[in-house]
Amino acid sequence: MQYLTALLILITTTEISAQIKKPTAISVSYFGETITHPGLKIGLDYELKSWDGNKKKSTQQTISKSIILSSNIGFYFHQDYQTGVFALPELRYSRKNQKGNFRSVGLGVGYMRTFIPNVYEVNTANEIKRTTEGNNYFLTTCFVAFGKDLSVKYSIPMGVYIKPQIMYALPNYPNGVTYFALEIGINYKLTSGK
Amino acid sequence: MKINFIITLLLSSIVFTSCKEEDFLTSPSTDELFHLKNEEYLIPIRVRGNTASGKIILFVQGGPGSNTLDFAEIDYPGWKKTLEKEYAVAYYDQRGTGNRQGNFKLEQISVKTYVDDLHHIASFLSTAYNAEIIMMGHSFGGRLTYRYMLAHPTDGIPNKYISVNGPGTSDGDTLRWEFRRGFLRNTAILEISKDKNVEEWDGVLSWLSTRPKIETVADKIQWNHYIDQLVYKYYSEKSLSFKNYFNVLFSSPYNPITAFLNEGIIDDIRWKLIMDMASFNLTDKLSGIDQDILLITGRYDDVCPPEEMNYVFNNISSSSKKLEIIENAGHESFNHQPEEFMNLIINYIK
Repeated sequence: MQYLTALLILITTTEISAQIKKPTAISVSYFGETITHPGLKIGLDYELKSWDGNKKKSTQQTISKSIILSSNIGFYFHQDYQTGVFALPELRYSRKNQKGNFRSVGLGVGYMRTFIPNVYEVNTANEIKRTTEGNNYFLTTCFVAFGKDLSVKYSIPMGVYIKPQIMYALPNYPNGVTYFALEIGINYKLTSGK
Repeated sequence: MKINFIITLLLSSIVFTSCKEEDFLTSPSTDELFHLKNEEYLIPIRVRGNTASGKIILFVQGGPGSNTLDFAEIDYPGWKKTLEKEYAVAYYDQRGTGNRQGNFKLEQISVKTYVDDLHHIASFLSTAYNAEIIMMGHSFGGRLTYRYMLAHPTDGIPNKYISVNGPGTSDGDTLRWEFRRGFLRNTAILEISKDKNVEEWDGVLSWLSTRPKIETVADKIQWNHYIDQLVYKYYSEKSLSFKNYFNVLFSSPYNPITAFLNEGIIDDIRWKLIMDMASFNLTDKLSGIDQDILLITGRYDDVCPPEEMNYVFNNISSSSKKLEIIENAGHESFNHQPEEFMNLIINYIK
């Protein structure tokens, strides 16, 4: 049921995004639990809303704010533990100053399938057989991101960011299983804009 | 649609592998990590060392609930350059602990399930490596080894068993405190004869003279206080270094958060196992053990004191049994006197 719910959310959000909006950026990032458990994440950003925020009284800076939906797929590889493949739509609120520095906070809900390496079973005749095992997870994530929009100073239509996050996958004993992951990536603009 | 296609492609590239004969080739320096499926649960197992010897020591961890794969990863007992040169050692995480993954029920956690997992692992290792299996349990693992021997009196896979600092009693057992009182008294006499902390040990003897039995909570707390001050501080657990933590974080097979931050989960499992152990009067059933067994404990082991191990030894009916008390060792006898421990194991197995 949870698996179906996750898929439904995933498909719905992606379809809505694709039909209503054109993607504003594509992101590619290293995604891993630690340096030794690497992975990759690719996503498309759809800007749902953007506006200029209040000027800071002290600096007279304008803060650009936006709400962005992104559709992501990715994987990570942890040699002896599991490989995880996921589809993870995320919603984030982002603030960018006039120097191009930005920070975001957001949530994601999606689906993850894990594959557990080197699994064997013994049958009643005491014969060993290799088998494929893994788990289906309803995946949630919350994150913060810090980055710089290079188009502001260098006219390169690209941003770089670092995004630490906590993921919670369920079901798992007793309720779910927590992962820490770090994303370091680039975000390439597909349309000209802020 | 595109996303679904990419996901399918990724999944297909990983699945559909089959068992090959070379999966379990024996070697003097094997190091393999795999999972064994027992019903729906996957047990992570690491086999390291000399599988070419044709002998695998199946290590049963204590705790209960202590992780084992990291115990192997950081080589906590120091067997990588000693015991594993002679034999292979199989380390596994007990059900629900350490590197567990997937969904399971707390109801699955019982000594019976743990014994069944052990039987499954021993059977698998014996077949996969065409090896003799020696089951070696430490502390709670030693007690679990006794339970395995009772559950499989004739169809046990191992041909030899070793209990390292494995007590026969549980917390609710009145015999436990008889042994512990005897341990404190005998240790006091021994230490006074060595001229060590004489004043403090005289105080212990004086306290014991007013307590023919240790029964009340206050007396048990006082007993623990004497042990902490006069015994444990000389024979404590091995401390971990920064390098150990670094190693575990970056090269262990664990999801670190699952393994280290979910102590509450392990506590539930630990408590269930302790209660399960306590409901089974093992001391009354020791005579049912008649397999080949070596019992080892440390002279200063307060968890499995020599007084208790003597009782276990005397009540096991096996005609092939041996008891070794390691002087100057506590509950981690393999760390306190590694060379002597190693020699005892090798002499017993060969």
